Amino acid sequence: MENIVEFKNVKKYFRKKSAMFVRDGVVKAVDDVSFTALKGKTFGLVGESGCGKTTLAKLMVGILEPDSGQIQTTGEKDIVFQDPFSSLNPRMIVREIVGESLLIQGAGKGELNTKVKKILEMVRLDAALSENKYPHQFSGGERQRIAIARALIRRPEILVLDEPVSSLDVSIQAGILNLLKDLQQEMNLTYIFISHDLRVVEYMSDTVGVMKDGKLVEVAPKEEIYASPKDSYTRKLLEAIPEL
Amino acid sequence: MNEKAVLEIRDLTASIASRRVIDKVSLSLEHGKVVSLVGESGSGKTLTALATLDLLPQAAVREKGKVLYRGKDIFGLSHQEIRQIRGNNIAMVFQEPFTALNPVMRAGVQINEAIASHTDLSRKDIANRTRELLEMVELSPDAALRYPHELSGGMRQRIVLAMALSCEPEVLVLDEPTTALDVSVQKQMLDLVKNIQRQREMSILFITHDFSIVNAVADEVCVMKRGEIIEKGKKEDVLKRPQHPYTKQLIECIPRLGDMRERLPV
Repeated sequence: MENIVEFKNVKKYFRKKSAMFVRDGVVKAVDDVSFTALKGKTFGLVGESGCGKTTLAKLMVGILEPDSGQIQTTGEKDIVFQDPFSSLNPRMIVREIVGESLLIQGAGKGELNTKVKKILEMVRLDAALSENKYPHQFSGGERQRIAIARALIRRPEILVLDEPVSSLDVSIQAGILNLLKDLQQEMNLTYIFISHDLRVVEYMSDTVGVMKDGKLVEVAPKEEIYASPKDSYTRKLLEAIPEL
Repeated sequence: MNEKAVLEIRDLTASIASRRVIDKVSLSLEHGKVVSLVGESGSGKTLTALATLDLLPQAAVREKGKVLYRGKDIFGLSHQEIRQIRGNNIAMVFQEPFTALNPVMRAGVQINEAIASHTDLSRKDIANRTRELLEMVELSPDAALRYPHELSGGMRQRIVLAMALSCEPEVLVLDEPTTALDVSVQKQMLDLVKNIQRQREMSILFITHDFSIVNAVADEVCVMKRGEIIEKGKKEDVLKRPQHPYTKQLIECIPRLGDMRERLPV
């Protein structure tokens, strides 16, 4: 199978300024991380807050540059963020939000309108009803669909999903997860699916990486990592999940 | 009326801007039990919790119903009397520990203040009590010297819990106390709450959106939707044999470990 994302010894450190009780130092947000993601599959990345998941997501789409190491990706990338309330411009209507990147690329009005309609239908929104509305007129789940449509409009091969369902109620979450699975099939997408929720990551992923303090402590096919976790931190995370 | 109930909500109905936000809610919390109020956002669970301390927002209009603490109607009490009950008899912990704490006061001082406002202990006794409380929530004594921003989310939530426990309340109302925490920290917090509850035979009204947390802590469950309790019963019954289709759906739409389903029911 074809590798579509490859991280080789990637490092990203941030300098921490000294504050009242904190000494000068560095935060090793991403510390010597290597992995590959396969085309058309989902690479799940799980870890607790502050482990470096979001920094890794930003490196992946080029919002941040690595200090050292190589990141190779074949194909267009785009990203969906956690909070669909703050990630959508409240002063723009849905057509403008979703079509903005096409506009920047110089698309004409007709092409833009057709593509926006098409992608809204693909994320199961009624294009005619939604394209002239503002973000606040939608529920959290609908807003996340808009954010997904915006990320997919240029037909990227790789979609980075940074906690895409964490701020949603469970019943809404289920709908978004189903939609993401459908879209992956329909568009042959590769997902980098980032979450703190081990159950959601297991449900969505083919391969799972567990991140702690900037390092990937374990990477394995989903079946292995959940059935026989090798790393003690992975085990600790799994044991902490309340059963249902 | 439930004779054994420490806290009882009877037929409580309230509206905000003529929308029913609490709709004929009745539940009773018995001594030493944990009742979980579970539902999605906007279901009215937090408002119901606030009502138990007569802390409904000003915009809310109470239409009917009662909240009884040991048979006493909370809404019939004077300002003084209700202040006595808050903290001394019923204490509350909110979801976000950072906003519940004063950012410019050391944690220990805030616990001291919570004790001082409800007792007339001497300064020395207050300091001793604070030390005891920190031990109870499994924090080291030097946590008292820290400012909230110097503490992790889990530690902050323990400080808030220590403040809530400061006057040995009979009833704790916990509103999503672990939602802002990481899973491993969440588990420690749930274990801690469970231990303290058992040791002190406290009664807890535990609000959450997460059925796996219900399973971990509750004796009884009330499922809320649009202001109404649509199903209630023993935890085992509700989780294993949910009767209401909404309860069923909420339980089934969560991915579990080892989930083989291709699609989640929506």
